[in-house]
Amino acid sequence: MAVSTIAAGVRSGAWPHRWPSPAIVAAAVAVAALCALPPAHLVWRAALDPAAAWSTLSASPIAPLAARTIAYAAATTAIAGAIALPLAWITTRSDLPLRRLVTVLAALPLAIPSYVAALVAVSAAGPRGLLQQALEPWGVERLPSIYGFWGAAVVVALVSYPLMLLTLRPAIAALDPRLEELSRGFGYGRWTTLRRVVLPQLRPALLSGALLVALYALADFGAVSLMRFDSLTRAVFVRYTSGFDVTGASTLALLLMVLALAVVVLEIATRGTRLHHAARGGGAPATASLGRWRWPALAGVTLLLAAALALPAAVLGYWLARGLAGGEAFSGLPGAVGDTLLAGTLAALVTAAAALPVALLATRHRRFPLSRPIEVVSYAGYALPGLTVALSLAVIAVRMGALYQSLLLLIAAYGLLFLPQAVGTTRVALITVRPSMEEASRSLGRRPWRAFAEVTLPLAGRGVAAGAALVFLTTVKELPATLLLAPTGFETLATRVWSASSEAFFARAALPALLLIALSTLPLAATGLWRRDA
Amino acid sequence: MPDPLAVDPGAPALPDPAEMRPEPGRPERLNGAPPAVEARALRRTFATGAGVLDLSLEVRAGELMTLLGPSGCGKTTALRLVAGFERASAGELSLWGERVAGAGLHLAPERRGVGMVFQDYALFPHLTVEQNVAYGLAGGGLLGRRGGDRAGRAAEVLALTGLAAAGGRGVHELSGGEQQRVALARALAPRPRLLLLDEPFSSLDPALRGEMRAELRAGATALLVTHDQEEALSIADRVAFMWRGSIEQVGTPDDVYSRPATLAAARFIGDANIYDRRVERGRVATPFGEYAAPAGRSRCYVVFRPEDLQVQAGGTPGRVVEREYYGHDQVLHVELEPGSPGGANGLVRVRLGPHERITATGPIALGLRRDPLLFWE
Repeated sequence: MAVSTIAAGVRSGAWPHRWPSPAIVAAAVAVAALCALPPAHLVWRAALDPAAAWSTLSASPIAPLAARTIAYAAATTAIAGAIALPLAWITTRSDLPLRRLVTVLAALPLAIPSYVAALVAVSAAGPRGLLQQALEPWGVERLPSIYGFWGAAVVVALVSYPLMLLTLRPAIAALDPRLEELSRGFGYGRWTTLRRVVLPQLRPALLSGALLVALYALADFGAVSLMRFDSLTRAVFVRYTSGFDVTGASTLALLLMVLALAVVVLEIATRGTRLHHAARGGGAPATASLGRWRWPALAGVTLLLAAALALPAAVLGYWLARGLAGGEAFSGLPGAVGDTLLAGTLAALVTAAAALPVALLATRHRRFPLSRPIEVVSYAGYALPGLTVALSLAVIAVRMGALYQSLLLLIAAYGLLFLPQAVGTTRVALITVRPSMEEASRSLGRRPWRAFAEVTLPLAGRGVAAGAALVFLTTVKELPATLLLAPTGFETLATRVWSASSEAFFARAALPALLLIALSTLPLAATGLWRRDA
Repeated sequence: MPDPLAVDPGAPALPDPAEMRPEPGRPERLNGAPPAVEARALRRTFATGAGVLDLSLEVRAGELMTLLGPSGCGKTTALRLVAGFERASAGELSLWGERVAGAGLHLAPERRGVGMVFQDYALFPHLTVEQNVAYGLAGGGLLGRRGGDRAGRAAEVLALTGLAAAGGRGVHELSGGEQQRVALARALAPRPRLLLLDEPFSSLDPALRGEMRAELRAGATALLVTHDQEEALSIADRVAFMWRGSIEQVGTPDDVYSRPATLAAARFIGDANIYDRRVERGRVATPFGEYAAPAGRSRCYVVFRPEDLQVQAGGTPGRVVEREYYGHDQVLHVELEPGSPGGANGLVRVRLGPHERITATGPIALGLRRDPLLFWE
């Protein structure tokens, strides 16, 4: 008889098994139901009238479209990996000059929305762009085209590689340098050691980083459109907005969703079950000397940062100056700033509130049969492209009549898309509050809700706030769902940048684009501070 | 701190308060008061099928009882049932004569008037030491709480626990011992009728343990969970020994040590040389003597405490293989000669006074100072 485990369930580290309160369950079920609604609706639509769905698939060349999208996502991931892997190693384990500064700067492109990066690329290197104008005196009339597959892949990779960088750096920092020394000691060379010792240990981080980039690429709409690359998202958007082909758009959105889910499944399948958390032995963190590669490495890093950070700043600055000179920079801008702040704040608050019941079930009522399914469903937005969600919600709302192009629907879409971030941070924050803390409060006379309010919320508050800040950041940058669902006259900085740059009014796009970057850098800095404290 | 059953001076027909001073080992002094804790077949089953807790226990008013048992025997769960953090699946629980758990009844923890000191202290990291201690004073609703000003009471308890100077500090700035005292002060501040302590001394050094014990002994009725038998015996008025989910024995410290009710109690509380013997011709034989079996018994565990053995000329011969000298006493590991009566199995541990001069690895002869404990099957 396994008596020795009698107390296993009630140690102060674990929450005692208890049914959650009906209010929490009801709230969490409602949140999960909303999350499941868009994908379920798309599937249901296609299943209801498969003939119509098939006819749209066969009417236009769908297979090349899908193949093109997959190839583009793969290429983007490969480019991002080629940037992130050496960069992560150099900023973690080498004696690169200015390493700390480089570490901070290298993560910053994450704050640049993809469509802003595309706008910079097009206005700088596109036809009649800045580069061509500068070269015109030498008789350069045309530059090689930057539009299409590779242009989209490079631009998206340049703003999404930090996702991979941020997952790789902790993994590299956690590597046990003794294993490499051991390998070298056995007489294996540098490359063999890298291939057989280092990379296998980094595989989980590499894969999850790749997953993030691939999902980013699949879901991206703004950059691919500006780079005139016909990916699935662009096809969905065009069909819905110009052709009013709801069935075709829905079917393509479903296909997009299937691709995104396939990426997730692929990552889970290849991740493997072995855990690679090496116990870090004592000793100084290994810092490899770059030796004669020191300056070439710095040059490479500088080149990258120039392309990913300095170029956007310079180009946007140039257009801003031109806009100011032309008197166009500020027209209608205050309204867009107001709408952006409104949307971001509402989305952050609503999403943080919606995440709480889900995170409570996931941390405190793990044995409750609905906890796990609800948590899984709440992560749907993580894999679902924004356009898919927005299109599905739009179709549903149109059918219901009242909600279409209402602020409520837009906020719901944001909440659904960005819920995973809030659930993740809230979960982590709740885990740090030991059950005994609330119990101590109870034993000192507090009702359950008061113990939660007095003890758990203050302790978990920073984590919850960090989650809300992340949601704010991503909401402010969000483009496709905003384009599709925003109420008439509702203009955010993102939609303003989009409409201006798709009509090549770069001077008009410059200031909102700079504001967007500034706005999205702020919460990034705030969460960075929060992590350092913890 | 006031006695929870402090007597109104005007009330007639009660014994002289002078006779009611706490006296270790004499909890009967509060005869007539309902027991502080009365658990009747209080059960808790676990979904994992790990085991069943079946608790029957009485803690008398004014006494300090320790709940002793090995890790995983269910002690902490028992304490949590009393506190109200766990729901019983059957049975009844009364605190001071008032039913708080039973068929269809589960009084919430905050309404039981029970103070708790957690094993991990569970101090509130977002509050200062003083705010932690005053926490239970702010909300009210605790049973038996008197009026009076909050800051005054907090200062009083802080002074009592030697934390007067630490009031403004954050709990992260404190040492382990100080944190432990804050946890105790916080639990004591609202004057709970009953104090529950979960392994409160496990992370303290011995000197601090002594101090905290003294503070506890001066305090209210308390139930303290520990797996440390020395701690359990030295601090308690009475000890409850728990084994595999139920209470096997309750008694004074000398009771449970010198007259353990079960083999498990004998084995866990104190050191023991155990001989597992079959009954042959109505008797069991050990190297140190033969014992007559009661009718119908086939097997016996014969337990010799190491201190019940002594060096004795003409006793059972053996050889010292190891000697551990502790200062206040010494322990010998003795290998008995082959062919000793009843056969020898394993090494015998013998505890002697510090002044007996023993040569390690020399011959020795052992005899009995006291009869062994016999557990028949």
